[in-house]
Formats: sequence, C-alpha cells, structure tokens
Amino acid sequence: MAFTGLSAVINVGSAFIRMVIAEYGKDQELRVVETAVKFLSLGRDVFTTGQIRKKTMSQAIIIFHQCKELLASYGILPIQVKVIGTSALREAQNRDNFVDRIEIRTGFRIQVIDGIEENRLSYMAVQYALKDQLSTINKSNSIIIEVGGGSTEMILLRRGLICAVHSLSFGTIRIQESYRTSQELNVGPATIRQSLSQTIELLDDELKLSSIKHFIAIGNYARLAGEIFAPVTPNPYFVISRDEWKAFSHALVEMTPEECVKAYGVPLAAVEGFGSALLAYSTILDDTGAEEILVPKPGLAEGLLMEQGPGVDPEIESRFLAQVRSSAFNLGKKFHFDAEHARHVAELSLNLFDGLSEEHNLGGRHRLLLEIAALLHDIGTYVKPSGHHKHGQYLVENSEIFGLEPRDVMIVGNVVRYHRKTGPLATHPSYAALDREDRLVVLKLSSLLRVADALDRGHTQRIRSIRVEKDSEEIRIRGDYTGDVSAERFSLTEKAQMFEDVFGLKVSLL
Amino acid sequence: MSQFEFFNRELSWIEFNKRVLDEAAQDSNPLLERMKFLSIVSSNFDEFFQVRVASLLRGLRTGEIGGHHSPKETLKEIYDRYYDCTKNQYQVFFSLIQLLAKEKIVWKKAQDLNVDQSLFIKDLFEKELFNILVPVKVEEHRPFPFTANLKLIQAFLIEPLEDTPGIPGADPLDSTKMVVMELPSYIGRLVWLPDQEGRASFILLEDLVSLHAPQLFPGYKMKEFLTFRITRDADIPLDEEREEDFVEAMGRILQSRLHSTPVRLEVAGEGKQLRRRLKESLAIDNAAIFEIPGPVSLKDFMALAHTSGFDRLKVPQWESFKRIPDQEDIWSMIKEKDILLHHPYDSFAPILRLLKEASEDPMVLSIRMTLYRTSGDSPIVQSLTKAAREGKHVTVLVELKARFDEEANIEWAQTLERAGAIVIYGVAGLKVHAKALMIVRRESDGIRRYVHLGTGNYHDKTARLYTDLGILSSTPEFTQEVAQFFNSITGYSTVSKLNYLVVAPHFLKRKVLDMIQMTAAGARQGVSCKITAKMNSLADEDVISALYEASMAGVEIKLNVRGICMLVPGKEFSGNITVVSIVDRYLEHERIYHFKIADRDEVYLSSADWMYRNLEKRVEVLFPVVQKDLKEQVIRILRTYFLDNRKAHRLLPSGNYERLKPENGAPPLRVQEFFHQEALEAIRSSQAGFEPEFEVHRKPRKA
Repeated sequence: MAFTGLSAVINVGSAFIRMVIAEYGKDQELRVVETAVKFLSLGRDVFTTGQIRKKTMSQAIIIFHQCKELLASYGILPIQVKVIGTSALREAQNRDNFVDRIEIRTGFRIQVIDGIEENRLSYMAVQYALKDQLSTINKSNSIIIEVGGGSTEMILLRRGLICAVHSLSFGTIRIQESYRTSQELNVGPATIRQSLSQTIELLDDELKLSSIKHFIAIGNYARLAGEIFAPVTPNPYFVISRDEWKAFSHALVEMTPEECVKAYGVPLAAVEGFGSALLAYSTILDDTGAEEILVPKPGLAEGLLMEQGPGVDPEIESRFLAQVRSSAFNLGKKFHFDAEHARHVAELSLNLFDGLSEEHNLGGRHRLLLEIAALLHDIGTYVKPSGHHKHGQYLVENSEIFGLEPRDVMIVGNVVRYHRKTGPLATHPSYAALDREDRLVVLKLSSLLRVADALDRGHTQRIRSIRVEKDSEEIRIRGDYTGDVSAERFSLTEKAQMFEDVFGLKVSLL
Repeated sequence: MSQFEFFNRELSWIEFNKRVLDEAAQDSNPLLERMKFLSIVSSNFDEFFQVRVASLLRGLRTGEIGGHHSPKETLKEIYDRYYDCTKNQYQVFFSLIQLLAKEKIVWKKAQDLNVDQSLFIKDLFEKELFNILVPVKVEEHRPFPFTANLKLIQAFLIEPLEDTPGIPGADPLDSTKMVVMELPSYIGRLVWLPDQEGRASFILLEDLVSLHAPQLFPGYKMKEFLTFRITRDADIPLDEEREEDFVEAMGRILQSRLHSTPVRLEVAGEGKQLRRRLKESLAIDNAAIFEIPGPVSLKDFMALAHTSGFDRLKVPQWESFKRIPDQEDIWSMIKEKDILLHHPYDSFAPILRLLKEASEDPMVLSIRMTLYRTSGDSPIVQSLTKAAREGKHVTVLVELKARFDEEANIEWAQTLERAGAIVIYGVAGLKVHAKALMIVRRESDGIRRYVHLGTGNYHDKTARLYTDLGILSSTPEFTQEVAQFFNSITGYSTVSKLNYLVVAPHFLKRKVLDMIQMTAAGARQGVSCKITAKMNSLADEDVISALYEASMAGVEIKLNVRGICMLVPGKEFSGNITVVSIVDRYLEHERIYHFKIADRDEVYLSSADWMYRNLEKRVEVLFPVVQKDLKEQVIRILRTYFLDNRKAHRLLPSGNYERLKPENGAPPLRVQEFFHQEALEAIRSSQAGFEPEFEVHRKPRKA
C-alpha cells in the first residue's frame, strides 16, 4: 500500500500509553512525525492488587480508540502497529484477558516484552536521542537507568561498552505498597536507600560507580521530571543538574498527591510514585561521579522504530552487536571462563559458519547467537566441570544478556547444552519447548560449535585459524598450526558426528 | 501588591464604549459610518448588560464578591455612566438623523406619511403583520407574559369603547387593560417606504404597528402605548461535570437564556400608566430601568449603514492585498519560507484557498483546526465538509461555548459531523480560544505539515473587519509542536511543555510573567529594556503588577490596548508606562508582545489578551516570531501603531481618555489608513508589468 513509509509503535507502560508515529526519510533516518501520551494507572492496579481493574481496562479501550483515530489520519491501521507492553502488563494476572479485550475491541494486538528486551529498546532510544553526544559519552563510564512503577532497568557501560544489564523488581509503586501503612504519597529517602543498598553494592562490583561520569535517566518519571523542571530545549534530551534533581525529589516527596497535581498539572495516575522514583534515581546518582542527569525525550517506542527501520544505521548496528558481545563476554567473566579459549572457539565457529553458508542457510541474527553461545559454552564449569553443558544452559537461561530476546536466549542455552555429550532429544524439555524452526537452528549451530570446540581441544589455540574447503561429500578444514594437534584430531572424530548427521558431510582436518 | 492601583474593569469597558461613541460624533467621518459606530455602541452595551452586569448582579445575590471594588458601588457607577453615555448617544443620533435628511435619507413618523406610503404600510400591516402579531393581556396577580431577551416589545393600554356593551370579564372599576406584543424581528426594524421624490424613506416598525394597532383590539380604544426591551442574564453556566450530552445541554442553556433574570429594562414612549404597571410587574430594580430619549435599541440602525447606494456617505472600500497570488502554488510558497499575514490589509483569501485546495488535494491526509466563531455560510465549513466527504481525516474543535455564537456553532458542527469529520465540542471547563490550523500532506520526501497560527478567528467575514496577524509555516520544528498542541486539545495526548508554542492555561501566564520579570531584571542591571505590546484588553492583576514592577525597575513600557485597561499609567509605580487605544473603522484585534532587552528582541503573537480569563480559563496559544525578516515586519507594524495621532486616545492617570492630535510638528497619521496605503501599493506593484494595451504581432505590411 501507499503508506509503507509510515510506521507507528505504541508502548503500554505502567503509568501511560505512549504512541509514536514515524517515517523513515530518504536517508532511511527515523523521523518522528507525531507523539501522543495518555496516562493510565496500570501499574497502580497491578503492583497493588495483581490485577488490572475493570475501570482501567475501559479507560485503556478508550485510549486505544483514540490512538486508532489519530492513526487513521495517517492511513495506518491498528493491525500495522506494533504494540508493546512492559512491566505492569508482564505481571498482571489477567493480562491475557486484557490483551484479548483490547484486540477484540480496538484491533490492536499487544505483545508483552520482558525486561531485558525493554533494556535493548531503551538502549536504542538512547542511541537515537544522544547520537550527537555519544562520542563524548563513550569516552568515560556511564549508566542508563529507568526507574518504573514496577521494575527498574539498568545498563552499565564501560567506555561505551555494556558491561552489565539488570532488570530489578524494584518499583516505586511496588515499594510504596509494601509501606502503605505510612499514608505517605512517596516513600522517604531512607527507605529508598535501604531498598537499593544491595543493588548499589552489586553495581559497584561490576563497575566502580564513582567512575561513572554520565547518568542517563530514561522512563516516564524521568521524562516527566524533564518536562517539569528542565529548561525547555529543542534538543532531544533534557539536562538537569544533580543538585536540582535532588532538590526536586526531596520537595516532591513532601507533597500530597493533590498538591502535586495542582502544582504541575500532572494527572494523579502519573503522580503516584513520582517523588520516590526521582529519589531512587538520585540515590544511585549520589554514588556516581556524574554532575548532571541526561533525560532523553524518546522512549521504548522510538527504540523499537529504530530497530524496525528499513536500514538501521550500520554504525549503530555494529555498535549494537559489540554491545551484545560485550554483555556476553562480561557474563563469561563473571563465571571465570577461559576467555582465550572462549574467544578462539567463537572465532573458529564464525569461520565455519561463514564458510558453510550454503549448507546451513542461516542469517546474521543466528551468526550472532552462535557467537554468543561459543563465548559462553563452558561457563557451566563454574558450577562443576562434569555436566557443565547442562549447568551452562541453566546459567545462560537465567542471566541477563543485553540485546537478546527470550527466544534468542532459549536458542543460545540449547546450543550451549548440546556443545558436548548427548545430542537433542524430544524428551529434553528446553529443546522440546522450541518450535521446529528453532530446533533446526539449534541442531545446526551446536554441530558447528562442536567442531569449533574440538579444534581447540587443548585450550591452547594451537590451530590459529582455519579455511574451509568442501566438495559434495566432505568438508576439509585447512588449519594453520604448528606442533602437535593430535588431541584436536582425536576430538574432532568424536565431536564431528553430529555435524555429519546434520549436514550429511564428513569432516576432516588437513 | 496593595500599593498598586487598578482601574475598575467594568468602568474601563464603559470608557471604551465612549470612545466608540466619540467616533460616531466625529464630523470627519462619513455620515453612515458614524451611524454604524452609533449602533455598535448599542450592541456593545447589550452584551455588556447580558454578561458583565448580569454577573455583578448575581454576585450581589449570592454574596460572592471579588476584586477591589464593591459590586454595589460599581453597579451604581455603571448605571450613571451608562445613562450619561446613552444621553450623548441620542444627541448624536438626532443630529445624524437631521444630517441624513439633508442627504435624502429620511426617517418618517406616522403623521408624516403621504398617501402612497400610508397605503403601503396599511397593506403591509394587513397582509403580513396582522396574522403574526400576538397581543397578550397582562393580568394582575398573574405572571407577566413571556418576554424574550432583547426582543422589541410594544405595550398598549386599552379601554373598552363606551358604546361596546358587555365585554366579558370587564372590571367596572378599572376597565383599562394592559396588552404586550412582541414585534417580529424578521421584518426588520426599519421599514423602507415607497418614495416618489427619490429619497430613501423609512418608518420604524413600532410606529407602523401602533398606527394600525386599533385593528388588533376591536371594541377598544388605545389610551397609551410604549415600546420596551428587556435584557436578560446570558451568563448561565454550563455544568460540564454533570451534563452528559454536551450539545444537548448547550441547547438547553440557549433556551433558558431567553427567559432568565432581567438585568435591564429600556422604555421609550409616552404612557405613565403603562410605565407604572410595567415596573410593578417586572421584578427589576428601579435603577436598572432606563428611559430612552428616542427609539429603543439603536443597533437596528446598522441597517442604514448597509443601505445600497449612498456611497458618498460611507467609507470607501479598502481592497486587500493577496500575499499569495492566485497563480502561485500555495504549498511551495509556504514551504519556501514562513509567511506573515496582516489582515484585513492582507486578504484572508489565502487561508480560504489553503483549506479549499486541501479539501481537493489527493496528497492531503488530514486537516485539523479550531473554530471559535465562524460565519454561518462559511466557506471554511464548506471546505472542511468537502474534505471529510473526500475521505480526508478532518478533526475540528468547535467551541460551543463561544458566547452568542453557540446556536450557529451547534448547527454547522452537526453538518460537519454528518460529513464524517471528527468534531470535538470543546474542552471541559475551558474555552478553546486558540486559533490554529494544520494540514498534513504526504509529499514525495515524506510527511509535511502546513500550519497557520493567528490572533483572530477563522471567520471570513470578521477577517474583513478585524485587524489580525497570522503566520503560515511549514517549518518542521514549529509544525511538530502544532501537532502536539492539536493532540492535546483533541484528547489524544497530555499537554506537554513545548519549545516554541506556549499553551494556556498551563504555561502561558507563567511565560508572560517570566518575560516581564526578565525584562525588569535587565533594567535593574542598567541595560536598556522595553516592553511594547498591543492587545484588546489588559485585565490581569498579576500581569499588571509585574508591569508596575518593571516600570519601577526602569523598563520603558508602551501599551496599545483597544478595550479594557485596568492598568493605571503615570503614577509613581507606573511612571514609565503609557497606554493608548485606537478605535477606527476596523476593530483592532492583534495581540503582539515585544520584549526588548538590550539588543535582543523577543516577539510573540497570541490568541490571548492579558486578561485573567484568557490566561487561566481558556486554551490559548502564544508563539514566537522566529524568522528574522518576519520578526522585523512585526516590530515595524507594532511600532507604527504607536504613531497614530488621528484615531488614538491616550489613557490618563484619572482613567479618562483623551484623543491624540498631531503634536510638535508630527505629521498626522492614521494607522489603518497607513497600512491600507501600503496594501494598495503592494496591489499596484503586483499588477505592474502589464501594459494597458497589448502589443500584437502581425505580418509586416508590404509597401
């Protein structure tokens, strides 16, 4: 149809529904055409009662109808819109009912995403908002943080590279609920500090907080603070000084909801937890070396639009891949993996992957998953060497790797699991849980990983690099090595079995 | 704040109407133009009584009293000044009538009619009026018959003829009856008469009717008659919380306005008994009853100004310049650069054309606009209807609460709705007074918006009578914010602080105060600072106080305030403030705010006056003029407004106004004429280049 250049994304957050309509310009750059935000107290419902109330549901239907109307002015239909739901929806007991009712009544299909995916989209949004600042920001350490009603998402960056991502269940509405007796609108500084102290210690281990020079606050509360307190600016982000932020958050926690609504013209749905959220930011800010807070105006919706674009900026794309790799690498470090071996196996796997593209017919996304799996294939040894492929799978599935969707994590976990010992069986629950397509991916990637792993059996990187030659029956790996590689040769005969089964080709090392 | 003084808002308004009256009194104005001003004085007072006086009276009743002035004293003062003003108005009226008679426009009384004319009105009465006039008897101890707001009503005192036997129900002691009768408004107050001598002669409807009234009361004789008019409270609030269907509720309010509390009674004619009975029957304070020394409601004499012919007695037509020539592509012109329009010197046609083209253009996806007041057969509504029918996405925010236009607004809003447009009936609790238009077009290089923001309504008729400024733009940073604004007023989004656009009630007042305070701070540091502003009314005490502070800080403040001005100039706290007001053929309507700190000029246009109601009770927009050349143009326009010494009045510390005269050898300047001359030159130079004769090519003739 004629309107392919226009896209829209709706984000259903804990306190608001936000829609962004955008188009991709000639240079394929994202241009936001319009944004619309409506407040909706989903978070309050879910984090206090576990359920979305009927009234809130009706309000949501009205808001979605309005979205539909506005979209119609651009000729966009609900079915063409990607709608994502975050923490409040993730946790709502009646979320399926909610999602279903919205779809039946308005035609929008909500997709609930998990915290780490949210992180990835936030990261993209930050890239979009701060693109002109990145070269400065990436010179030192930074933190991207979103304090929400039900959860808190964090990304730590060492000189621009992600070294940790977290999705915590700390949320301002949630915390308030547990201190409800106190009748306050916002929980005081002491409580916030106490609830965050463990997190702060954890973060400090991963990256010395005092070394952080850039504090990037995202999310609705942060944006609201920007709109209210920061000087008006045409830039895609607000800047608020550390002291000012602190002063606002302390002033806010003293206010009643009514005072807050009156003073700032913000609806009640947004006010709840506003002060505590700013305090939470400010508590973490206190331990960093940042002097000001940057608040990007774009949110998850822009992040998603960036990602969905017809041509992601190759620079952003390669930086993104580097972030995923870096995040996986840091996870490996956490479990004391053999970094040299991991890196080498990853490299060999990719050589095989690239040399056999006609055989496996997989794309770039799977290449990345293979690389991640190769980096992490031995982390289970941290638990116990015997059965480490199983421990590895468990660790992968329960860790936070930036940039991977739940489905990706499942694939990586399975590939780690099948890098040795028994191959996939229908009785393995994690494998059985995959759809047919993904099971094939796991088979192909784990057989490649097995070969690569065999080629560094001695963990000595003796085979420095390989070239793949093939004919109709066999692939020959021409290795560049010196010295004795008999261990590798032996291992290959054992570990290439799966490869031969999957691809119908024999493997030999020349 | 207490050290500051403020003029009374209502009395300041009366001062404004006195300036309108003063225009009617100017010999230098053409006769029919003077009559126009005279009738405007009346219609202005009608509105004033219906809204302002009504609200003061309600305040007295409920005990809700605000402001510095007691409503009781204010009311007394209003009545006194209104009385004086009316006396002057009728003096001018009668002198105008005399002058018009010399010019062959003749007001005939019943006794002056010739045979032709008598037959003509007899015929008119019997064929048209007789059947529609409904006399209603006024009975003692019974409610007074329904008398609608502002309708002209005749009262008669009748008595049975002595030779009429046995009228049923006749009271033998008091046989006189009082009868009231509403005069139909569709016929027109001025009834034109046939005239063999080439004069335009007319008789007033009430004189015509009373001449033939005896036919309505067979068996009775007429003892007395008079004409009166009741003004009623039109300020009935709408309970927006409770009302479910807004349109329906508005309809009910319009109904109730017809018979709400009376706030003024105007009486004209002889008839002592009738007068007494009328006063007894109507629950109205004596002070609010006014004896009119001539025909009631001079606003009907506006018809004279519109009489065809008599051009020599009217102001000459002033042609408008089309800043976007018809042959140019309107979209590319706006895309090339922002365009400033100064109406009515610049024609309103480009706006109409923009809407018309948008309704037909396949590249246009949607149109969004606000409509506060517009004309009944508005080409704007036509274009919007067409666009909606063509399947374009049309969203119109109609302000049903636009006073005295509610009825018309409901009507065309429903027309639009039927065509498939999304009609939004205002915002709860606030009137949407902002004037904004946005057209979204899908062009080869992507979505592009075209916007218009202005100081005046999208009303093709008043755009010829009101001076206003507007900007057409397609600058993305700017239009993006207009889209945001529309999303908030149409309920699609929350209101957020924007970079260019400043929206009331959320941010506008704060912004104005900030700008004034910033200028004052500059002055305190010894920097040369100026505030120059033009608006309809200045009536917000916070803003005025800030201006006083700025004056004391040394800011030079020049204000051009056409109507109400509560600011007291020339006092110790306002020594640096001067206020002038211009009343001329066009209604001065621009809102321009210019803050100058050293060499930095910040210029804003707005839909909002500096009045409490605009800043706190309405959705308004203030926007900066950013482009350098446009900014210079606006500054120049604003500056020129302060050079007027023909139609400008200076506000004195006493609250009185004095007409300016060319002083110290300054050349006489009438600002509206000045801008008109400029428009004329622009028209001429745009037409230049075409020779009056075509040079034709022919085959050279052979010798």
